[in-house]
Amino acid sequence: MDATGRREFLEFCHARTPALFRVAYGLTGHQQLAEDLLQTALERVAVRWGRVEDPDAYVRRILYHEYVSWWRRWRRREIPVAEPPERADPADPQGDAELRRALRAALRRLPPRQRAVLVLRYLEDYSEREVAALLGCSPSTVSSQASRALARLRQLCPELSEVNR
Amino acid sequence: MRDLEPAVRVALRELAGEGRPVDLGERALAGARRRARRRIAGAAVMTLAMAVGAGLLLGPAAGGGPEVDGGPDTGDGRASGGPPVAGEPAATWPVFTGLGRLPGKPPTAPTDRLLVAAYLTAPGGPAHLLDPVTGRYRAPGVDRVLAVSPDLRLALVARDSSVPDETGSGPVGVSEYGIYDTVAGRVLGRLDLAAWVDPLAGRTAWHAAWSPAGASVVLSVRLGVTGRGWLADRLLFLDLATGGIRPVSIAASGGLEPVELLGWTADGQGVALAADRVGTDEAPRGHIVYDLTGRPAGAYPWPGQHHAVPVVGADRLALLPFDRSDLTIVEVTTGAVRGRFPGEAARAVPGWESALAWRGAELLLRSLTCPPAGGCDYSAQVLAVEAATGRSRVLHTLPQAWPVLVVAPAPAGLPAPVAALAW
Repeated sequence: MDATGRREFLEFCHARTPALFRVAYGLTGHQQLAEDLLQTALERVAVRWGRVEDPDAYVRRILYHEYVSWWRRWRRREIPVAEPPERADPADPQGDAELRRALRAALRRLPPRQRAVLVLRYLEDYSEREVAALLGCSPSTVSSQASRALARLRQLCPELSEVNR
Repeated sequence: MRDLEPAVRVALRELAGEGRPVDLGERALAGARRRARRRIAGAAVMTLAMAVGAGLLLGPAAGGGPEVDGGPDTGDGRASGGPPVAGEPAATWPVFTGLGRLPGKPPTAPTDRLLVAAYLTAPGGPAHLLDPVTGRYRAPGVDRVLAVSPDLRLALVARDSSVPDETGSGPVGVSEYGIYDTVAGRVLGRLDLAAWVDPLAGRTAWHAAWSPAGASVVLSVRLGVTGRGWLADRLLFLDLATGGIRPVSIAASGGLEPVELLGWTADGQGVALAADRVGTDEAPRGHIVYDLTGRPAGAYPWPGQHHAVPVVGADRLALLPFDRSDLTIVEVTTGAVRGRFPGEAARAVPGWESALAWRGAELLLRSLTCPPAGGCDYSAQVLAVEAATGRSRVLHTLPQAWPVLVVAPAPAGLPAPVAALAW
């Protein structure tokens, strides 16, 4: 990578890290793992810098694939499921703080593919077709995974019993 | 009454906002340079190493690597000093052609004592392997340790990398698998799996388990199938003496299809795989035992969806339910329920979801520390939980809170420095 490429790459990282880190953290729920995951993705785009048409999309694709791959690799032994300290909830006029806290805890316990689908659909607001393209599966699979993930959340989070389906 | 989807959106935004973004540009560039050096250096290093001796130039991968004491419970500075950094993986390993003899067997049947046979300092960090003669750990420059022989003298290790997928759907992970001599501190050779494993075609080697007698290793090969997730459709049996690999096909049985290798049966005559219902992509709902020709010897549905703890030194599975209801203990070869762990007790034990192994009638768990402010993280403590009562105690304290562990039964007759590591 020449000096111009290096400068462009660092500018890209500086500008896009906040958004990409949110995705990495949404997937892993863990500061260190999110840093590791994002760094891995950025290393890969750095190697191909100048040849990648849309670096942002490329990094996101690597994030999802790496995340699922990590989980599959380590789940037989030890799965890092560490959770960061909860932040104090701000005043909540609707009294939803406890529900959201329980929901965040339940999200951390979802299988990675289900969690990835929810992050893509509801954090990144991608369509089912776009999610399917990113994950390399059919839109119907995305739809069923999302349905299962929501059903699983209801199981994991009894506080959702009062929430409409 | 509110809709679920908006609540999930809010919860995800809050979750994603908990992290502290770090500008990783410089770190990524340094990592990219390491990747590039690794690729460029490979061929040249191999040539030089062959000329002057592999030990020096291949570094940790072939020459033993830096060592670190492995003794538990010491708190003598290892935790603060940290483990050594593994060297760069170098050239492709030569093909494994067998040991030319039967590998060592444990002097007697495995005891109920366990030790840490391998660990990772962090996900993505270097793997460390125990030398069963000196009781020290080496960093052999590999990314993973898949299985360790019963006498602890050999290990199946893997180096991971990735290649671009020509379809443009993203990089595809590829791995090189090798047999590592934990005493000599070198890789004896790589397994030539090309005939059965092709990551670009979606067919990858996955889990592995060492046979109880030590003479064979089984690897499962999985294939991604749209709508059905990953399916295991083949087992590869490696003969350690000759280096020969015998593939056998495996298929669905009793309405279940195999997805994940669990381990060998205690008599070494079968291999168990977790299974989901045919045609689905869901958490396992049973297990299938295959004989060594790949023929199903039995298919056993479980009561609900579970994460199964692999068999370590026992012919039982611990079925961990996702909803923290009762833990169920089943016999591998019959599917018979042999006990239930009360869900109430399970909910009171931190670490429930991070089971490691069996030790006698106790289930060993990684302890979690959960501060009052919320959130949990691994501690260095290993808990032993009586399956019958749910009572728990601290069995062992690791030198560090390693995130990834491979635990193994400690065979009798170990040298004193190693025997001292068992717990």
